[in-house]
Amino acid sequence: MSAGTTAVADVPQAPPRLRRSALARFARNREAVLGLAVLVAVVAVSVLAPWLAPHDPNAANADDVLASVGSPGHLLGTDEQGRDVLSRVLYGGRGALVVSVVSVTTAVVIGTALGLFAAFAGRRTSGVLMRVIDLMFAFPVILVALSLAAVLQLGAWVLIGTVVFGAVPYVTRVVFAEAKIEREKDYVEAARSLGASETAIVWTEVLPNLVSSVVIYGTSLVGVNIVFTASLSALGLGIQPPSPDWGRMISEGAKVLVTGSPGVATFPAVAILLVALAFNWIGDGLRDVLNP
Amino acid sequence: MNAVLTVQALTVDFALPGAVVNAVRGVDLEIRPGEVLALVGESGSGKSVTAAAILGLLPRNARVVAGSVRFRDTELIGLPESRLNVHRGSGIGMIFQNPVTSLDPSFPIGGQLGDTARLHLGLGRDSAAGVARTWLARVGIPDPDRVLRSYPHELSGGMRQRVMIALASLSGPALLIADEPTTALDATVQKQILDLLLDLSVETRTAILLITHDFGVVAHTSSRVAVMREGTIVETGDTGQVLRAPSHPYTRTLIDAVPEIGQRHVQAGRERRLLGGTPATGRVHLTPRPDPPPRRVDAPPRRTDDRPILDLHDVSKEFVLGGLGTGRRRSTVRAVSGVSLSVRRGETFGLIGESGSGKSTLARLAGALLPLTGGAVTFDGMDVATADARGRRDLRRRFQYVFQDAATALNPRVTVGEQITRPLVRLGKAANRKEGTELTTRALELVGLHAGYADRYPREFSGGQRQRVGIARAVALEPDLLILDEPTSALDVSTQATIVNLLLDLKDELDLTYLFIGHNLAIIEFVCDRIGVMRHGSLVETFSADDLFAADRHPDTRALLDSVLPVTAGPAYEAKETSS
Repeated sequence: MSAGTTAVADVPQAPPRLRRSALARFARNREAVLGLAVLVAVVAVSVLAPWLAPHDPNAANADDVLASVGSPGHLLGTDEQGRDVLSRVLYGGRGALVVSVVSVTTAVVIGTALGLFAAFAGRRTSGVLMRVIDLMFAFPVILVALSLAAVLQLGAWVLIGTVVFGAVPYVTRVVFAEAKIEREKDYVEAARSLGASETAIVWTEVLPNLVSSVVIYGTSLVGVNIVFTASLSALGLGIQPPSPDWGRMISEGAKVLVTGSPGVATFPAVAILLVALAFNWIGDGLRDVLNP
Repeated sequence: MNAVLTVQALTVDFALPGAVVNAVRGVDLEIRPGEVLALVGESGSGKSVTAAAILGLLPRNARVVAGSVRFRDTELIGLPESRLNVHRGSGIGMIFQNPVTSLDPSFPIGGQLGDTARLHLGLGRDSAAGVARTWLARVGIPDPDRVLRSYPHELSGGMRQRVMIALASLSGPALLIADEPTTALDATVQKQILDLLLDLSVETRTAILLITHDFGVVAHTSSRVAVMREGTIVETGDTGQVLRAPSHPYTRTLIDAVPEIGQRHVQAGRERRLLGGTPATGRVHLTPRPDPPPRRVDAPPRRTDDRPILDLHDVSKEFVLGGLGTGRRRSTVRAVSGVSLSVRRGETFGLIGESGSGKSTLARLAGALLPLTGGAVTFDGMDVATADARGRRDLRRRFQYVFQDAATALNPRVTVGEQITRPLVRLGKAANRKEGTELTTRALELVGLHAGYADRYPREFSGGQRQRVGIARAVALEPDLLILDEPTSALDVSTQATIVNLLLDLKDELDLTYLFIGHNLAIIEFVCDRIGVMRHGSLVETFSADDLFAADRHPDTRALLDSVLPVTAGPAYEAKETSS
């Protein structure tokens, strides 16, 4: 028996790993792949809109109002100002996507930090914090949007502020509940016995166990909030005319929905539906990847 | 043709992603009325899958490929669900391992028993309640009326398992399948539950298929035994005969892996190790140290002196329940009260008691993982509670834990290597990450794991391997004191033997002091030098392991001693043999 690293021969050899790679597991989920494909296509179309769109989305033409679907030069017809619907749909996703991704990301970061803090803080601090979160739940989001609209310039910032305010309490609740469960698990106690500080426990032990649920939840939140921002824009609180926006297009198209031009409102609605579905499907796929 | 159940050439395949696993390969079993057949094997040997296949309860990715299961005169394989349901419950009853999860938490006991009685016996509401009460009394529940109104969470584990037995038996099934019915229970309760099952089988001529991994349970309860390994039955025979003279070497290994009470002096002239376990650990050193002089195997342990390394003085702990915002009255529960004990350097101190006796809480108090309510803990001359940051850091390095369930004590999202390296760097054992990784490699090899495992996640390991990782994580710091909180109670007997041997090896190798917590007296007696018995939060008595059988032992110690099920054919079995 000599000092040093004399490994003994009967130490078992590491057998091959019986586990699919994360990519393979994602690829096996048909809906997730479909969602990703839709999303990539929508992002590509939005980025490339200036080259893809056949017309200027804001160019009105009083001679060619409410052209029907398939009319020459206007594949999806025109709206009541004679603007090309196809071009507006191609441009209209830019605002919605950026706004919902940015605001949900912000909300997820804030909510995760708050939830983790509340879960590991003392009973009184966490009680006060979570009651504030409850108040945010109870606060009508539309009021937030209206007050923000009064303070800020109408446009994307109103939407981002409203979505962040609306989504933070949900994320905080989810993270708080999960972190509370994780906090009681043996590995946290084991980490404590191995000398980890409370900060180290929160960031290096517990957070890795929450990432998957937060990412999954955040992905579905993006889908929900695409719809929500579209509604706000439809109410006139979001992206302002004449900039093309799906929500705005639906509200304008609704006026002519029953008078023979259903396409003006339907095509942006389908676009919203597709993007929202895609985000939810990706969320499901990530669940399979991150929780094997 | 008097067998209740005949299983012939049963083969079950699991379709896993990219592979087909033959979980059960050609199993033959036969159980006659009034017989208790034990199906023994390690986890993964296919015993639970066999039971599930009999009842048609296989998971969706499993399939019976071949073979037949005949219950009385009916072939069960291939029967549609609706026809199988005729036999489930009324013909074949099932008792599951964990009574906490197998009773519906949302309904009171009376309702669950009454529903079963109405369904299978065709009784009205009132007579069903009567039957439920009778059965609760029959399974030894002292106040059936209170229990009928209780919800499962209001009952103890042993009570719940009694209810489960009543639930499975009240429809008068010809066959009871009990899947590890006592594994989740305390040793003292285990014996009562097994005796209850035995009485049932004698009184009602119910055949019992008892699935277990514990040869003590086999010896105590069964009349015949079938040993299962990797999906096949390697040996079948009368319990007494198989235990006395097993014909298959695997059976021998399993029996040897079970520590017998009073065995610690049997292996004279050799190092104290359990026979069933793999003997060798990787004999590597964590940090270079002078070669110890070659020791005679029967030499006394190197460093047992009377200087205590850990001293607990009048330690107590109260937990506060309820209070503001919980909707319950604030109340305190005393988990540990007035415990004083000292652990000497170099010894193995065993702490034993039933679940809820406060032994795990005491272990956490000793390492300042929980704040004390009263008393003082001194570790190597330093008061643990008042230690400053540096003292606390030193304490953490020198005072380590191995937890009961490695599956939860390892962080599921962090690679095993990282989990060992992190504390090494954090506590200054390794100067940098590179050195930490090197030490991690050596620690893994020391516990008999390949260093290539370092970049894997805990879920990729088996239970025994995970516990090795847990041990590696603790010993990599080269602590002075290691608290082992039931390190083997979640493991199979053969894995348990290997881990126990590993711990004994490591103790010699690294000059460790152990505080070994357990509820299995045979293991404690085998491993430890001194034993402390805890009950209801107090230390009942402390004695040398050699004096376990002394006449002046406390009644609580005697109760623990009585609850041990010896592997050599026990009295209950002998009585059964003569009566039948």
